Amino acid sequence: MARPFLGFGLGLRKEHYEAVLSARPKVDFFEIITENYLVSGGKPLYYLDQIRADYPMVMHGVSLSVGSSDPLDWEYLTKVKQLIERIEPVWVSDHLCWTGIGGFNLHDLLPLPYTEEALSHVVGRVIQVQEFLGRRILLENVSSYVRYSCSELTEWDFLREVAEQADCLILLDINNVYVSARNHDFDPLCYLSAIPPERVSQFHLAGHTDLGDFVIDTHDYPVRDEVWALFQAAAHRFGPVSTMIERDDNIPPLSELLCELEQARQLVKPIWSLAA
Amino acid sequence: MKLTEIQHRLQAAILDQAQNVPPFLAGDGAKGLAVYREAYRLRLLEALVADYPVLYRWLGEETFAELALAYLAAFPSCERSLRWIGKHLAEFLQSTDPWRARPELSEMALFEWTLGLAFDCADSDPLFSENLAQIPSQQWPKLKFKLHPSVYILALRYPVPQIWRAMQDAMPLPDCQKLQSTVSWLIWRKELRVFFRSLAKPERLALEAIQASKVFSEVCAGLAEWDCAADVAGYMAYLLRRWLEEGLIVAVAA
Repeated sequence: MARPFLGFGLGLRKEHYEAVLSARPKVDFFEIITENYLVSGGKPLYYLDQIRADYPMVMHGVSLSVGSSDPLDWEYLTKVKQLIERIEPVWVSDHLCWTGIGGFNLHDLLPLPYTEEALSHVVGRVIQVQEFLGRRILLENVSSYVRYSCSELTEWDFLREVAEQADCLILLDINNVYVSARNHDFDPLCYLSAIPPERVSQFHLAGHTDLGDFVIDTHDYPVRDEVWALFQAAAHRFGPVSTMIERDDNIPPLSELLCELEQARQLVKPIWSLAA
Repeated sequence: MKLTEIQHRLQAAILDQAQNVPPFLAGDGAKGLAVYREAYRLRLLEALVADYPVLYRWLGEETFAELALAYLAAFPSCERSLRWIGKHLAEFLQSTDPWRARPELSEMALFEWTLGLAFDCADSDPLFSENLAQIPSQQWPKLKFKLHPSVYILALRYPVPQIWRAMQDAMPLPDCQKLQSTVSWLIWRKELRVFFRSLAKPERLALEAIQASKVFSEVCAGLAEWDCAADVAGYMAYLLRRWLEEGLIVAVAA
């Protein structure tokens, strides 16, 4: 089955609720942070429903912790499933990472050691999650600042193996590939070339902070030139993939993000032969 | 080394700055670990500031950060969503030195947390006076009213709602002296906005009786025992009108 191409989207942030409702901007889809809407009512769900009425949506979680050695949190997954039923997203994603152990949550996306043990653990859990939700999920590559000496696979081989063995899809974060490539000194193009195109259903773009000898995925500035270049390379390799820009801090007016989104569209239009 | 052990040890090193860099990290593990440690503190501090914006301004950036770190050490997050990480703060302030010497801080935390609970609790459509007008009078004694899910009643010994309001409106802060007696406050949401106001004792008793599922005749009987409310029927009619206007009542059953 061909993957749906939703076009060019933005992360829905509360700072833009009113602007979205009043201006109905030209955004092809919105991505929501799942956890922000696991509440019972009030403003978050009001705006979610209003905006969903006009735009396709995808759900992006940050707490599945699919790589943790803790048991899966079925209470959390039940709430995710209820939100899926409420807004009928085109797809649901989370991260290839762990966020805590022993019942704790560090609210961060921690990388896994790329071992056969971790691979088998994650594959089994992705299969369980997909069975429970009744759909395939997308897993996103995270940016990372540490590596484990026990890793037996590269990150890209690990991601590909998880996707193929669990039969899940991939949300390829182009900025994260760039950030991790700089931090761990690998070739980001080598990463892209190892990822099977048919599994990639979404791209993320975001800004980062470059400290010279270290790069941090901060989502607080526009997409940098190096990431735009990698995005173009990815556009060639993977063909038309739904693309969205994440901004989580230092959030500018919606109009600025719309300009940045247009930049993304223009960059890949000739590559993907998109209509004007 | 097993995945479980790696995760326990890395998590411990992120939470505790005093711990050594785990030996299983390759390359410059210290530099990477520092990023996760810093991100953890900043992310959770930011979430607490969002939950307690007035407490944050009241204490100032530095003191609030001290409080937040001490709180997170005592109550590391077990939540899937950052929305809930601040839920123990009032309890922490009330029971932990040096904060417990200033009970007004715990009350401010409780007040702000409750505003947050009212903000995104379940929706429910309020009743209108026409809905009540249709009920035959003989059914009234046995009526049970249901309040909006966002209705909370707090008893406070310090004027923290007034300080909260002054802070929001950038007005001079009232003195934070302990009051002669506790004051009850009603917090609720109407449509998308959260409101609060003080409650006279008879009104508080009536609302608490409704929360305790008492029927209308019992609610009125409770008021009759309160000698300030000589005209119980008239007072109750006034309260019902006001509650309907404020969107406090969402259902009634005979």
